[in-house]
Amino acid sequence: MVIKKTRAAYVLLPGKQWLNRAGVALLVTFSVSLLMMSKSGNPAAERIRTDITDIMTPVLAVASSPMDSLHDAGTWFKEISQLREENARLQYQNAQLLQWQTAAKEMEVENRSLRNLLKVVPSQKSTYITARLVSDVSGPYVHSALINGGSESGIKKDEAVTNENGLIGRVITVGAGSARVLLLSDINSHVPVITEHTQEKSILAGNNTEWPTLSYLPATSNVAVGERIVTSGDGGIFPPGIPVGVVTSVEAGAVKVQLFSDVAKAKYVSVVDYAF
Amino acid sequence: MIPTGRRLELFFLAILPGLITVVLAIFFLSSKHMSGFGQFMPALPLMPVFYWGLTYSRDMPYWFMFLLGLMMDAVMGAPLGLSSLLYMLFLKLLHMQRRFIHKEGFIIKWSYFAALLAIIDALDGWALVFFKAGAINIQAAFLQWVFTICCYPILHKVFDMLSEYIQSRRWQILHGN
Repeated sequence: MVIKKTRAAYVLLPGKQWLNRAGVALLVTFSVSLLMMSKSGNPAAERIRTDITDIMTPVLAVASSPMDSLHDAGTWFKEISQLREENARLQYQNAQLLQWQTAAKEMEVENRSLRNLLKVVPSQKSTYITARLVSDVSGPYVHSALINGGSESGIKKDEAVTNENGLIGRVITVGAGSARVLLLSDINSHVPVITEHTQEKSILAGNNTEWPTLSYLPATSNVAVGERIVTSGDGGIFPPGIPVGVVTSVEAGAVKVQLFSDVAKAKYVSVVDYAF
Repeated sequence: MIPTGRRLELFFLAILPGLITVVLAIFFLSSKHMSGFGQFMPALPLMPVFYWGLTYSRDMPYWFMFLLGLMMDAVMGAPLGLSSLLYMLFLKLLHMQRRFIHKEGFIIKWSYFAALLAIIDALDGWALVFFKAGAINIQAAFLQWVFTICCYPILHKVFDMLSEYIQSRRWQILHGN
């Protein structure tokens, strides 16, 4: 079928094309403006971001449910198939823990009496808020996660985020019903840490890979492979003693750390309100 | 005169490509509980954009690219507006060559998708280095590019079937069958 263009079509078509081009130009201008606002840390840009994440968080929570169920089913089958070995391992671990419990009780009594003797000011206890992880983006460019709790749940900026294995990251933006967590592996993440055995302080710096590195170690550092890394508490953001990871390689001054917490496997996280 | 029910169906058929893009974007962003998978998770939202931008460009408008990019940036924590700009550029580059590759075979389209994706990924990486003042994981970026290219034929086939259905249904509604 041949469509014959009318005179009106010839007049209206360039007008419509012009409008389309103007619309695209407007969108490009708006995107560039947003980019500049984002770069300069403009509060309006952050407001737009948190408003969008507040809307998207319930959607993402629903979207991740099938994967949650699949993950749970996989874990269940794995647990069933390994029940016998798991039972033997737990019995052995239980015997070991009972020995540790006796030692810990003795140390607790000793610690309390020493604290009383030295009149140590007691450190404030941390409070925890549990939230569900609805999105984790650990791609080549950005390493962050979204949780379904925000200012309405009492979550505040810069609070530490942990799971049962250790530190995951810290809260960087807070919306009403959502919060963004900067993961330890992100290039912008810098966490004060200390080696558990040699007691050397350094900064755990993310590099967008799964193995962050230790920076600012002393030149005479004795850090070796297998050394456990925990938070030092310096800076007052993270409570001291949260497990972070273990040193996996020490090569040409670069100390790589394998993190204890695997954010991809985490379903729920704890946000730690640490009063310094 | 088309009845209201049919009009609604036409509307649904028109927004279906956009809807599929949003669903794939949400799946891309949601938590998948697979260790290390995030490093090379295929860039799912760009596949329907490429397919429908090439096949029926009217169903993939620039304003939709802008909103999609904004959603991606907000959830991923990237600088706001970056993905919007890149997605609009992706669509513009696609439209520039559309008349040459539209009638070509699958291999040509696939190659063009790979080339466009490489350009967008390179610009994304460069922009993030500039904005976040740090290096990107090039190995992971390359892996993600490879996996996206590898996944494209499967989705292309699915979109082909869906597109055929949409066209036949539109024809039926408009011509009263």
